[in-house]
Amino acid sequence: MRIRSSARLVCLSLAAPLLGGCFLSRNTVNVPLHAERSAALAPGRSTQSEVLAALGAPNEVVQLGYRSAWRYDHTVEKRAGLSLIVVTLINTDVQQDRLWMFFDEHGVLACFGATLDADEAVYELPWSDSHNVE
Amino acid sequence: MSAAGRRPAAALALAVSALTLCSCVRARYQKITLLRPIASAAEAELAPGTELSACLAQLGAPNYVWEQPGGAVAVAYAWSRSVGWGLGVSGTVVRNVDASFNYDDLSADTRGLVLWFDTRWRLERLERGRIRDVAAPLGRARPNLPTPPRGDADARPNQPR
Repeated sequence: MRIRSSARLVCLSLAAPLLGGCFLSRNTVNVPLHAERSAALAPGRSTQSEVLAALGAPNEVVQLGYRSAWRYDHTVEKRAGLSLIVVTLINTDVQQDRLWMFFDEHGVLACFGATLDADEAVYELPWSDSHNVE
Repeated sequence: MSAAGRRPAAALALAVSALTLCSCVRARYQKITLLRPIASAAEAELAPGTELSACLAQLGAPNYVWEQPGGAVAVAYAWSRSVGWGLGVSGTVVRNVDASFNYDDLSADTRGLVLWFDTRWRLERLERGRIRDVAAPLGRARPNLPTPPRGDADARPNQPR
């Protein structure tokens, strides 16, 4: 009886590594954007200096004739995987905070657009779909 | 089946088992979601003549902004979703998908919505599709400065104030 129990334990020990495992990883690019900082900026009034003071240096500047646009972004990538012997299932979700500030020819904020989705990146397996993708 | 006929099958099974047990052969099922698509309903509310500010309020911040001749502008929203199987041998995945989002490199799977605005930043037209095709003529152009307005010699555009 004792021999049979030991054999079962050995079999289980050998099988455990073959069953594989799961993993989670997270990558981020840049620091999160804060809605309240951009909300304090007023189109038609705020200047480039004020935007710099509020948000720091942009990640990209695009010249638009005498006007310009500045981009701020923060990216979150969440990856979840499950490894079963020879099959690996992986889901990767990349979401972003973005802010584009458009300035007129005098360096005054003309308008801006904000998307704050980075917090909505999720860990899930490939058969799940928490985002409503068209 | 004779013993001679069973021998090759057993050898094949043994070889496959050996390869899989030492993880030389691996199958991978992968789904990658990059950003959120723009809803068709939101797009339908945009008509030619809509100001850039109203479009940004409706759609959020774009992924790309490109300069167009005379101070006009084009913006693009991008997203992609890839699902598929891959097979790897000795750690080399035969088919794989790239999960990174790179502003300088649009993949063939990246879809999007591109909006073109005139020099007064009013919507001229918009187009949805594979963003690499739709936005192919836009690219990264060199600055295209319009003629300075008359009597504005003292203006120093784009100087931080």
